[in-house]
Amino acid sequence: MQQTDPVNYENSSAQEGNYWPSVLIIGGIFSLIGFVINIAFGYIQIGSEPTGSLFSPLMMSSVVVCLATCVGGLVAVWHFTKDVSAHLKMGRGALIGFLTGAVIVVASTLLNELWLTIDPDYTEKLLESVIENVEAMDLPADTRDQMIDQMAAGITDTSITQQLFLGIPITGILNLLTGMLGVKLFAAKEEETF
Amino acid sequence: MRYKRLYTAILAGLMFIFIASLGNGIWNRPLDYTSWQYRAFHGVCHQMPERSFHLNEVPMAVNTRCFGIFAGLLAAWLLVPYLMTVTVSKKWPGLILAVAVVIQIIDFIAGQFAVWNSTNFTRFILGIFLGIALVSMIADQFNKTTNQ
Repeated sequence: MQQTDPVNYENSSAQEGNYWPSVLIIGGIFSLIGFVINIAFGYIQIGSEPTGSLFSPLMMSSVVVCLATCVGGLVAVWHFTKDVSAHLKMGRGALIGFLTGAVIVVASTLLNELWLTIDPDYTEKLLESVIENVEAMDLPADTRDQMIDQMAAGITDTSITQQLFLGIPITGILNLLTGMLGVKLFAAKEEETF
Repeated sequence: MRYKRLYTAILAGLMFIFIASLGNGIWNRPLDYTSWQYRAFHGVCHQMPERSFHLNEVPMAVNTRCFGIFAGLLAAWLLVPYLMTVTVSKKWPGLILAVAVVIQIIDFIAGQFAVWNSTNFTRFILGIFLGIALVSMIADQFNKTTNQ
């Protein structure tokens, strides 16, 4: 049976470096950026007149937040290679990416819940504004009803557990891939030995 | 091939994402935005029914661009054992990824400002292109001969 040498294992871990600061810092920053964009566009949506346009401020924010959410893994790996160690294996880059995605989901969920304690009417006002905008759209009634249902379901009635349980795997896997891309782009390549 | 367990785990994850993104229609269930598939993608996609493919008259859980990206990721991931041999030490995967990202940005901005009207099909194709480009870029890392 193969035994692990504790001394070598410790040395190996120490050489690989602690990735948690990168995960927490970048995950925290990206969740904060996503949260601020979401809230800002949310209030723009609330304050705007219903135009009937498909491109509402809420839709804009979802696209920007999606992009920001998915590149978290890439940036966390870049941060790790810059601040901790330039040498990074792909598996570790994938792990950093996945954990960064998980941190983004957890922190975003907490920030959103926190905001609802500051402005408890936010969700209701946003939903009203979104429904008014959809009702002004030149769409078949069925499609309009579907859009209203979709937006209402997305804005309300999602528990914290659901947000975490459903959000972490999807966001985690997408960030895992961008984390691997980060290894390809930023990690140091070993010199070839002849 | 190295990192076989990582490859398999990601393959399973991408299959899960792909199947979940099909929404309720694939199971012949009526549209229900409170079901887990639709909730799961709420944070990463606007899920507008007007911009989604429909299966059995039920909109998918993601829009056509996101579905294209997931389909492209899965299709290319299945081809990693081949891609890792043809992309090793090559510069074209990086170039293709850059082109795919730029095209996405241009298409999105042009759509916003009504420069042109992209269709669900064109958004789907561009999404596939981005998904394949991303995997092509990292595929060589699974090759044993690649230095890290």
